[in-house]
Amino acid sequence: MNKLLSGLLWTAIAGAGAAAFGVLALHRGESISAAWLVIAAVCTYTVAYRFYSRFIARRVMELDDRRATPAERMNNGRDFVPTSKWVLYGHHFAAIAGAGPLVGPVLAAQFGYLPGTLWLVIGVVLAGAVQDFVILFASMRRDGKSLGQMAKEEVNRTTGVAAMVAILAIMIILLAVLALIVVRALAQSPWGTFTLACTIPIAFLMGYWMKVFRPGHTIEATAIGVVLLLAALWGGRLVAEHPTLSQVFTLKATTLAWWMIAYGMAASILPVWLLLLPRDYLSTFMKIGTVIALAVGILIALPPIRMPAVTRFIDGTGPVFAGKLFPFAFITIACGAISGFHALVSSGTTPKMLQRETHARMIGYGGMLTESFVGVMAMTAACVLDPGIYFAVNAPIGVLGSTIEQASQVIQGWGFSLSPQDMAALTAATGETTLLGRTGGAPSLAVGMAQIFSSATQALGGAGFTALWYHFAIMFEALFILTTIDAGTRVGRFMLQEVGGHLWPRFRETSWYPSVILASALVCGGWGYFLVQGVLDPLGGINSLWPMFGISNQLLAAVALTVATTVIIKMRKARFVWVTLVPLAWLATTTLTAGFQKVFAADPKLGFLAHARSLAGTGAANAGRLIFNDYLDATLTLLFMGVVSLVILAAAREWYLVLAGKKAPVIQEAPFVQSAYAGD
Amino acid sequence: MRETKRTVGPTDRRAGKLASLASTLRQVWGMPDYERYVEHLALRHPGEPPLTRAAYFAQYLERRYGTGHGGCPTRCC
Repeated sequence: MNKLLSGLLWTAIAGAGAAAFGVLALHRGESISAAWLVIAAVCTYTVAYRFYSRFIARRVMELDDRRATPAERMNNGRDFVPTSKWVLYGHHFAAIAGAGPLVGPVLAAQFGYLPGTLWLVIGVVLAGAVQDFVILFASMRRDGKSLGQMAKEEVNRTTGVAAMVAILAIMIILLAVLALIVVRALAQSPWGTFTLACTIPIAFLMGYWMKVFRPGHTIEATAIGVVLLLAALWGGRLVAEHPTLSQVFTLKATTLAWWMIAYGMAASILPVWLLLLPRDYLSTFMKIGTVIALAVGILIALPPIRMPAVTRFIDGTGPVFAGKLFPFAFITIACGAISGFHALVSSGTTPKMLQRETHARMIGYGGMLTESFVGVMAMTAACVLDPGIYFAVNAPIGVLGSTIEQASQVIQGWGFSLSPQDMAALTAATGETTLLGRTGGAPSLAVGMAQIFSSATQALGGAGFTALWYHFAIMFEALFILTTIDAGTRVGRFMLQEVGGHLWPRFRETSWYPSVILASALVCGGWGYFLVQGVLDPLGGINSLWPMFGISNQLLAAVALTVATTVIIKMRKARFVWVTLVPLAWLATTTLTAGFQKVFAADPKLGFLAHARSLAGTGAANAGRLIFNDYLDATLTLLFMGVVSLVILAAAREWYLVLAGKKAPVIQEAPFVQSAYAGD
Repeated sequence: MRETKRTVGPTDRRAGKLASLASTLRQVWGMPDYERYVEHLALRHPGEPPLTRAAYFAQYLERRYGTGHGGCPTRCC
């Protein structure tokens, strides 16, 4: 009887999900409720978690609670600590979630809501969550070893080194593109700039509190920080309305870019407790809080989606970024469906905290499903905007023209309508001077979130504070992007010092100031260069940098899936190798195709080399600089593609040797130790 | 794991709940949890004197942001 009931229940859930997808795909008309998106996503996640992740856990990995985890065996009360399932789930989610799943879907909305949503939901179930889960499992069975170490030990040395080089190069691009998003979000916006500037003294105060005044009292300091942060948000409005102060905080994009670089330097050199740690806590709070608030807001408001299911821009002529639906939808949605960076977290702190082996399923697979849902919410926020407004905010000024009237004409030409009055009213309601051509995804996401939040608070009887919500959303995005920038610059510095130490031993000393300053300057110079060039780019910079980031991130995922496949083969589970091999093949196909197109496509809007050729000899302003950047971008993209092809080929050789019986399948798992929890 | 006290009044119980809530928050946030560390030491290594709160905090900073990560960033994209 119970079995029958459960069968009926799961059939109903699967049916509801399929029906919701059907409605989403077949709907034609003015608008459709966001409820369909939520139902389609949640039903798919539920079914996939219940059946597919259980299959992987039981049949492929054979998770075994009798086997002690590294946290139990090596418990030191510090980094190896058995942690309860739900707490670790929160911790892991906070570590993997960032700006990626929010920005990617917003940009991909130029294809319409359907392609992006399908890839977010299907991609996570078959690829992203599988990657996180298998890497977490592999690292857990190897005392919490990192992805790079596992690549070296399970595949071969070349793969390990290639993975390290790839990670460093990817970091540089990641930091540049994230910094560019913040610059685009804050340029000409005194309110946003003031609020974000305030986070620095707030961090100093929190750091002083935790380190000197009340050592180790982190919760107190964070509570104080959050209150001050909200005060700074409120104060931003006063600054924006003040005649002289608003001048001080109205900065040009180039000025902001230099400030960002200076900030990255400071964060890399200053003691961590002063800047990094307090900001880390603040942004974790904002991240978890806002994700929950957004989910609640969407559920209360259930806003109508105005974007069509599929737009004409799937043909590759879109203004937000160039390239056809295949492969660029899969590159643009970088983190919500699958993200190589998660493999670093899944082989970092999380495997050292698992209490029982079976918890890996909820934390690895389930954590990534939640991240995908964040992506679906971002997609919703972008698609509740009127398409005309979406394109007015996200297309570069170079395409739109500099006035609302010109932009309205251009957008009309694309088959959407933008009423200049509505656009002006929206700009005024958000407290900004202009919303036109604010590329990077953050401003349009903030407008969408502000609409959802203010209509949700209206439904509850409160007034809709559009401007406050808009700047809250901007502050929230900028805050945790800066956290990635400061932590990332520091990690990049350590990696560079490690590599450079082979040439000059003193360079490796992480507390010797000349080395520290030189290495920090090199890392900041690296991403700073791409940032400044992106700011100066007449097409907005996002057009070239975001696809490069997407390609590099997906290629890192390909490295992770290669390691995962090797582990599965060496566990003598070759019959299940499709679990990671199919996503790997898909990822390799989409990213290598996208990389190839970015370099060699004949369309100057898409291909770096064609763009360089189109500028050569025109005598256009800055042609020399733009051409150099095209060649640089092309070289870097080819480097990513080369490194990953090398890794896949090296691993394929290893797979062949093992499967053909020419090499013994030796895995480097830690030996079995009986768990003390086993009797529970 | 904690020893049960002989008499547990309502104030104690409330304080205990608050402490465990704080501990949960610290773990999710990735904050240092000094109380848990002291408990761990008492349980696993009785007799070993614990670090002071400030020293424990300094050690935590080194672990979280130090060089021993093998290139793993603490935050994702």
